[in-house]
Amino acid sequence: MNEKYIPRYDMTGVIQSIHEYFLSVMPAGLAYVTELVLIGILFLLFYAVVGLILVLAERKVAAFFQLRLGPYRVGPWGVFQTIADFIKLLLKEILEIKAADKFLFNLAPFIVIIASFMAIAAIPFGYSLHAIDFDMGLFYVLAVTSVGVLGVLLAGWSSNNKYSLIGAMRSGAQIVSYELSIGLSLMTIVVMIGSLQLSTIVQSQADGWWIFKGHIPAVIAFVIFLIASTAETNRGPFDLAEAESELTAGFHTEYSGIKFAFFFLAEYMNMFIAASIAATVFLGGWMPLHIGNLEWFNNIMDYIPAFVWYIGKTAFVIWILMWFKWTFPRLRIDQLLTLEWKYLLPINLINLVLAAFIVLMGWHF
Amino acid sequence: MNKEQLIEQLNARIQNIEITEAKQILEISTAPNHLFNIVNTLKTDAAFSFDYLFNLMGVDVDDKLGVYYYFESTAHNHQLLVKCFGISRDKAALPSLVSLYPGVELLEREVFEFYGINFEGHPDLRNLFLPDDWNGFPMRKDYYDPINIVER
Amino acid sequence: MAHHNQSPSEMVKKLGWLHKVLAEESDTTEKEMTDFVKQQEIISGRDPEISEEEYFINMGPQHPSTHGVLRLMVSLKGEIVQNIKPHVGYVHRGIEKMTEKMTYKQIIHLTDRLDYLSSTINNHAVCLAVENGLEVEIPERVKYVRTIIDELIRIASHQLWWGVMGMDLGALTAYFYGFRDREKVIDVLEKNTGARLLHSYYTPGGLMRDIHADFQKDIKEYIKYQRNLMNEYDDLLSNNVIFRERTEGLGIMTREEAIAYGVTGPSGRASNFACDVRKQHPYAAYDKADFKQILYTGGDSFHRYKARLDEIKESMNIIEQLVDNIPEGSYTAKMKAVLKLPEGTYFQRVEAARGELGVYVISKGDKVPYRMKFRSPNLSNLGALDKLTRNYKIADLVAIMSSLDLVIPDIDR
Repeated sequence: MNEKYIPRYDMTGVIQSIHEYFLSVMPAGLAYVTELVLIGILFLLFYAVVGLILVLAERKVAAFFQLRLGPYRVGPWGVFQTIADFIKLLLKEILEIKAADKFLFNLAPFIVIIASFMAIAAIPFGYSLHAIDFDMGLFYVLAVTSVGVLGVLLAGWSSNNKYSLIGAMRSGAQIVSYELSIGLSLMTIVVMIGSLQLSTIVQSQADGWWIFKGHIPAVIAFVIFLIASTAETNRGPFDLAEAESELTAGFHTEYSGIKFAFFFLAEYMNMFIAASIAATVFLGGWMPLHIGNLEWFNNIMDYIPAFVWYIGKTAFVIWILMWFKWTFPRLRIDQLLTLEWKYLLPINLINLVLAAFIVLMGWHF
Repeated sequence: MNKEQLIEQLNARIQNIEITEAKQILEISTAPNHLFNIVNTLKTDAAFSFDYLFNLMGVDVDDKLGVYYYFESTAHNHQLLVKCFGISRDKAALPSLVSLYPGVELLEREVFEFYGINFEGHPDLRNLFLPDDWNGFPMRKDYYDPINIVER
Repeated sequence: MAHHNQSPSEMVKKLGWLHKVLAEESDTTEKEMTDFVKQQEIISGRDPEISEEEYFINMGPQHPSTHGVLRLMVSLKGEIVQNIKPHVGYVHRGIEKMTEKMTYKQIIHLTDRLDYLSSTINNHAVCLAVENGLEVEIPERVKYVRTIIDELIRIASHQLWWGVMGMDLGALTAYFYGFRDREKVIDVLEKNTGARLLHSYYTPGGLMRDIHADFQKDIKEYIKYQRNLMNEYDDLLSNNVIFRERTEGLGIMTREEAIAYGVTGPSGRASNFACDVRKQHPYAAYDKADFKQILYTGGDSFHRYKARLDEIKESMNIIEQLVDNIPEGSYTAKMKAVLKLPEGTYFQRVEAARGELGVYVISKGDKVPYRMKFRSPNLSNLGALDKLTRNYKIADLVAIMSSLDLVIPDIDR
């Protein structure tokens, strides 16, 4: 990219001054540690808030699709429902399973939640609103999110419950397969950008989002990414690992109280991360909607803060994912694998070649 | 096939039965040792082809244990009730019809637990509704349970 | 001894009837003890006689997709179902035994509790059996009203099933759509009978009370509403790719199998088994209406689904033909206060929402039946489940079970 796009409301200055303030009152090493702790706390807060909002949103969206009102009693329009739920989960008894492998049983929910927590660190929320801006940020996010499946497998295995085990095995097969589609569909765009760094990916979309710029391959990749990320986050119609009507609750059958809440929260955070990645790579992340050289339009769009763009796009993708869940019946495990290996993967590979060809010919913008 | 024709055919083709003409349905009575062969004929003989067993019930009438089989033919659309009495109360046994009508598996289990009739040749004969350790056969008329049954 | 037991046939025999016969004669023998240990091993899935990969899962009695307290002992290899042993009896109330102490009018109220989703059809069967025995002529008005209400109940039952089928396949939204429309039927019935689920509206000889003044108007409004919605059902489930994939060609039952297993109702008719009692042995006012017997030749889950949806449409046709022609007259025949059936055997077959329901009465001339038997359509349909689901996956087991539409209280009685 020739020059960096800097949004109208730039946070860099604020962040810089905070950093300088810390440096002025304490030694450099301590300042970094303090900043790390502060950012950690900020992320924890963000995590909790996003979790609460998403759970409420899911219930409201489900209610909308199902001709119901959804939560309506706790607070205005039921906005405090999730908080009430959370308090209930906190107060619930944590069941000890006698025949379970205790260490792994207790470890599993933490692996799941830490994986999603780590992934969120690399997401760009706005210009320079990054915890870490890795050179290969996209690769890092993909690698870290797929660690979560370890937690699911451990949970299923250690519960000593056959339903859990079947759920975990399904989840394993599913995530290993769909990891390919996620990687390849993102690769289609990465080929056009030539970088894995998330900030560069966003910057590259200053003159238009990749879903518009990338011709047909980008659209195909976007659709595949949506399907694959639904599978990756174990949500309907790919919620085979839980499959309520088949496996009661799948891998988290034996979990109760706060440990169950961890799985529950992680599912929503994974959805949030998947939506963030989709928004960042295909829909421009925090980048406002720009149309080529249409200056007056671009200027109006610039008035909307970057963070609002980011949240709006993520919410849009999340809404699509919820729409999937509340419309489609569940697939069977062999149909799920057929879809991946016989349809999505070949389409993806051809799509990637197509994208590479476009880049080679210099047809992309 | 109407009732008269059916009676004619039954008389001609099957021995060891007693035919009575009830108001709703034609009834034949037979003894346990002839039951299987008779039902086999009823099912396989093209003149009858009673392929659909639409009810199987145990009875305990006048101190006699028995089983009623209700048959219908989907081809000829006629119905027949086969009554089988003459089962000893102590060692109650009847041939199982599972090999002819696989659907009676559960129905025979029901009769077995309620009337104590042992269906010989049944692949999986155990209690259907009641617990395995239930004593006695509740639908027999001489069954007495002062704890669970309140007489009014 | 534990209630569950999976094993080679000799062992089952041992624990089954022989155990019962020998119970008085012998105490627990050593063999019985080893059997017990073996049984426990089987339950925990560690039987040496069973191959390494095979294991058992208890689906139910508390399981979201068994719709009640049915317990299926599923033998699995990986996810492939090897065989299924249904265990029933968790809601066994001994209704057949209870009827032996109850008058015919009282029995009506018990029959509601059999298949609670086709409650008035159960009432109808008993009423017809009693009327048969007493040889009373019931007014035409009663016949018409009974037919219409039976069909309304059938629609309500199929709507609930439609929603639940969606839920079993993971499409929760269908469940709410099904219930939304069922509510409308229930409202019509509630206005007329006063009850929403267990109506007990029929009595031997007629109806409990005359129909509500708005009865015909409400029904016509409802049918107009429901006709528009049948396309929505198709859009949401029938035409959905995933739904089709999950049901088409799965759990195929041939016509011969359906007859041999006695699988009736829409499940049997999807296999081309013409078992509609309304057509084969007409009762009430069904001979006055012109309707089709829904028959399909596919015999798979999808055709069982399709047969039920078409039945909703056909039921609406029947109602539309009858609702304007309800004759004037008394809502009940003149009946004695105490009904005593003359000595003899009577039976009546009717078409309940899930198949053929039969009521079989042996009377000794008392005011109570000597023996009363209910032919449960669900018990026979359950009998075919093992055959239908072999070598399919757990997910298919749920789909096939859902397409059979089992109601557990009717199985247990």
